Amino acid sequence: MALSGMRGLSVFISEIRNCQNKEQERLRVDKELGNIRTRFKNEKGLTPYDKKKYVWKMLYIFMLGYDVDFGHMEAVSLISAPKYPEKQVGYLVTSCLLNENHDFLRLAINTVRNDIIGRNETFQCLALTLVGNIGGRDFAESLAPDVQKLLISSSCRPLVRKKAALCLLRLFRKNPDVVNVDGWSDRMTQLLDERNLGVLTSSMSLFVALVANNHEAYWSCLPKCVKVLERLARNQDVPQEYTYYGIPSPWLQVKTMRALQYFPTVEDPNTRRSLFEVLQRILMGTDVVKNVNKNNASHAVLFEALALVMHLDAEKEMMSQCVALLGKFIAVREPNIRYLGLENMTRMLMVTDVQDIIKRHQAQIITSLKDPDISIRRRALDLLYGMCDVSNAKDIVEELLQYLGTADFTMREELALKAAILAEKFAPDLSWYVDVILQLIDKAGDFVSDDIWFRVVQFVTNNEDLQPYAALKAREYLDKPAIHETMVKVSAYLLGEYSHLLARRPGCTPKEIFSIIHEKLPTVSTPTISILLSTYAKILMHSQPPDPELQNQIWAIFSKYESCIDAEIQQRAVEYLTLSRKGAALMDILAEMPKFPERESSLIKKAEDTEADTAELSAIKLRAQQQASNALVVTDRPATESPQVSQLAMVKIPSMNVENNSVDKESTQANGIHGEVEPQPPTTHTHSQAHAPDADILGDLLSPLAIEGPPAKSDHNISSGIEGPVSEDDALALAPVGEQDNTVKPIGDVAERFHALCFKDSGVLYEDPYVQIGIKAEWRAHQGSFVLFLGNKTTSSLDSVQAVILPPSHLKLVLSSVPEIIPPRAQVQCPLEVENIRPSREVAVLDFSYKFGTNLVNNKLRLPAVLNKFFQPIPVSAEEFFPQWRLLAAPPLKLQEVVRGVRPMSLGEMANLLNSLRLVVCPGLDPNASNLVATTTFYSESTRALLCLVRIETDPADRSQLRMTVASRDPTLTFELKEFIKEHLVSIPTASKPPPVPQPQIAASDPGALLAGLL
Amino acid sequence: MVVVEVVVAYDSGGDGCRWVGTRGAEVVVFAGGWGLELVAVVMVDSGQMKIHFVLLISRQGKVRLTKWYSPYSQKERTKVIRELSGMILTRGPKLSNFVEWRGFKVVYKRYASLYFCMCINQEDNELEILEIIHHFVEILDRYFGSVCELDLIFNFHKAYYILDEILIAGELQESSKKTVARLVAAQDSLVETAKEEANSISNIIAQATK
Repeated sequence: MALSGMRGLSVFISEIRNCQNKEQERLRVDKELGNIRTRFKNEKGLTPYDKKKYVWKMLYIFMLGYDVDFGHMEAVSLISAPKYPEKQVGYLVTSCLLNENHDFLRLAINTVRNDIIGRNETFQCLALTLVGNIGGRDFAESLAPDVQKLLISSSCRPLVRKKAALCLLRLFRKNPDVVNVDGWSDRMTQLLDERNLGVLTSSMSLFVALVANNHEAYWSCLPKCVKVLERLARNQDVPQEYTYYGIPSPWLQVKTMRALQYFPTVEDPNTRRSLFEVLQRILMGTDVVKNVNKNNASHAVLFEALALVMHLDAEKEMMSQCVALLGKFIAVREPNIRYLGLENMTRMLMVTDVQDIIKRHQAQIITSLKDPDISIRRRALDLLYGMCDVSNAKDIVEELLQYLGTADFTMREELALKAAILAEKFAPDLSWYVDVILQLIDKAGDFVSDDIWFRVVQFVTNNEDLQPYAALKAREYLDKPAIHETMVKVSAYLLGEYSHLLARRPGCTPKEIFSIIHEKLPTVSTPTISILLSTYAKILMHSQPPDPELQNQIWAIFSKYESCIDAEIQQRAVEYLTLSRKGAALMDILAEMPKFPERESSLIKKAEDTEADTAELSAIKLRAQQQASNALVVTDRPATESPQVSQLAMVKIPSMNVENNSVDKESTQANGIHGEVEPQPPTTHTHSQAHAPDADILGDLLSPLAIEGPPAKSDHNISSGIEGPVSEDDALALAPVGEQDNTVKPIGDVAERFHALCFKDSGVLYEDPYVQIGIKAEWRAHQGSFVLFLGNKTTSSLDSVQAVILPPSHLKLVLSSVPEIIPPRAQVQCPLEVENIRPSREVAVLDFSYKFGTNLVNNKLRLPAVLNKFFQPIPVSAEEFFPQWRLLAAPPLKLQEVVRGVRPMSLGEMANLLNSLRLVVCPGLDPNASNLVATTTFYSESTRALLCLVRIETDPADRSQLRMTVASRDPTLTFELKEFIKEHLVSIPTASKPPPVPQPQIAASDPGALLAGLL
Repeated sequence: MVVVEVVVAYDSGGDGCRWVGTRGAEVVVFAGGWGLELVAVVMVDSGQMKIHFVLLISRQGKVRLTKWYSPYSQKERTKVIRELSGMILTRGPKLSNFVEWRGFKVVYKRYASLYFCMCINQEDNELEILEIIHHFVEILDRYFGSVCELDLIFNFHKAYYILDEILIAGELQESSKKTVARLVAAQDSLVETAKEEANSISNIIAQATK
């Protein structure tokens, strides 16, 4: 049976098959598309048979991956054909050709609905299948009640009802707000009693979606699920045709156990007992058999049972049973079971008390790291990473290092990063940590990101005991014949700082150190040369008394690079040469780097990002909960540092503010900008050009960079201090960042956009040639939900996207994670939750930055979560108003002020303004027609709902002044509200002053900061 | 396809926004808004389709059947197929049936020269899906009588009908092979009857106009 029953179609398919290459195929397809197009154009001559044939051809072409941008209409129109054969084709081709977002689908809604509510059950089936596969919002809106009716109808046959269940499932999943499931718990209880297993299976899928959304409503169904499970797994009470390789519908068993996992617990002791009985039976009664399919099916059930047992937090005995089973699985030959064993063991790590049992399997897991299957290797790596702690870190990290040499290229970077993190977190001692990182660089330099070596430098700098050891190690690596450039960087840095600590060892005189480092210079890239120059300067500084020969050698190098084409290198060469001729001054300037502030490891953050892929399984999340070794703590930070983030903290968005502020601060320092400069993106500053693009990858390491590239401004100060006036050119080159960079200009007036958004809830917050940030908000009492729409307008992706909220103290803001990259022409949506704690006029700021090409663009945008968003207008009658007004008699609850300089507006305009601020004007309360009375309710967490009363008395003769009285039960609210209204009445709000952005100020007089800036 | 994770599911329709649950999330395709052309479709939750798509690919990388339960544009579809063919067709015979891909899992199984692939979420039950594949294959086998790749090439539409009786919305609809076979046969006979009717009518017309 190889013929489609349609000759034309078969012939076409054979011709496509006979095409020798892609090009021929393309030609044949184009020819056919042309043909179909012409045929569709004069539709008159088209028989139903032809039409069917052509839409099948279209589908075939579409399936092969070609664009088919016409003929959708013909496919859709077949749906309304009266006869089954055409209708069937129409439904099927439409559901393959279109997806839920096609407008064409709307055309079909009516026909589909008629088929669903009609009497013909074959038509019902077709329609339900289409809606179940591609139905979108429109379908949910117009069809959900009809589909619900079909599912619970007693007159419908199972074949319709099971389709209705899944159709409803799709509509509900896609639009839970549209599909009304009130009262469905009773219906679900009935549906779960269903005897027909086809209907029951589909209903169970629907049930999973319902409980996933809101388990509270479905407690009454829980015992039913346990009953279903008992019926299948214990009583084996199913018709023969529903057993699969002897197992009573494994799929239904899995689904039922999945549904049970959405309930936080099973409280009723009887139900719990029955459930555990069944689970115990599954755990114990599943054997490995020869038949693959039977094996798979029974293990599908078994693994789901394991997950349910873990979820229910069973007694320890049962848990150890589970671990024992998993331990068996990770050693079996069957790769699927091995894979799942590892995967589930990683999940098991979340359960307390079993880690020790899991550790017993460490050797086996390490073996899996060498499995021929990359999927299994990944699971093993993830599990090892998750189970690592102080006790086994040494073994595991050493295994990872060993594996690094042979691992697939696709895994190396992840491996290197994970090894680095574990080494950092669980190092039994510091020297071991340094060993590991240097080995890592040595073995897999290409895969060691800058963050990793930055991190080791931080540790060494902050731990004095470690410095001689690290320097010695670095020196040893330099003896190796061919070393990776990253090794050159880290060695050069460490030896520059600490080689003087080795002075008495053989081969470690300044001269020897210099010459071994200098040997590497011809082989390295430009950025590394900069580091080497810094190292030379440091060596020179440390060789006291000066060695004239070394001095001359180094000076010669500096002079040579004075004319280097690379601005950064040239800059360094010039400055070092001048500085090093200053003798004693050199000592101060090139002194050792101060200690770094303690920070969250950028590595862990990075790991979280790279883990986005395997987030669900990732053991990274576990890291946060585990005890870290105390060996590595970056402490003794300078007192000048602002808020610290604990090294362990897995910083999520809210607390990131702190982090970011300090990074901001440093980047400003690094670039040597004075505090009064607006925190503009540090982009095209001539000197910092080399830094700026690096700014974000440097993350934690901004300060060390500051030493590598003596910051322009500060050096400038010094040299000018020493040398007197500087040349004009120099001064130009050192112009403050804020004045000449920021080449990306916003489109439209940002302040105006903000102002508009204060009055409405959706619109554009910010736009420039590359991005557009839209906002949509919804407010409920003291809470609000924003969605930020971050859109990339360009055809290349935007990198290093960061959005951080700088909240004022009265607002609680939680921004969901913002992806680091926005793909070309894509928009991502980031929900932002707002909670108002107390009344205040301060404004939250969104610190948004991204990189386009090498341009780092940063903007601080005010978020329209302003006072009036927490108002709920409430009209008040005279009987309600006056008692309140009299009750709130005097300051601070009632405040009065004469406002002058009111911008000209009629009384009507003023009323409109108040109304748009959600202060509802209540006409008739004030007998004087030139006065306005307005009321509203204000919501915040601390005040709850508070009535606010406002009275404005205007002078018809002089519209530029008025008297305003504001009253509420809360003095702060009264004051803030009065000021708030005043702001809107007086100034032209678009000209309002910039927001009180928390600015990273660097006190010029602060010696610590100055020093950090210098070095 | 772009994969982004967000914390809260959100729906952009209507006025204002609605929040639809907190377990995992979805970023809905959002067409139009603020003059941007949008392609981001994202899902990360059990609240999403279970099987995102079904692919049948031959050993040479030719597509034999595709069915998409989550919305993908044609461009994304092509990319997905290319990426997955590259990953799956090169895998050796004695490896597991799962590959991890872009934060999802693809469960696949090879039958003779054909690879059957289904894409699911990380947290879904892989073996269950593997047996759905086998269930599908058994039904095809029963329908075509020892099915081969050629059957599926020339009767790809039949394969679609059969698949529609097994899966809807990316979920298993019917686990009884007998029931599926009965339903597909019923459809076939409906089509046959219609054809005969049409023939007999055209015969009558032909007779009448003789």
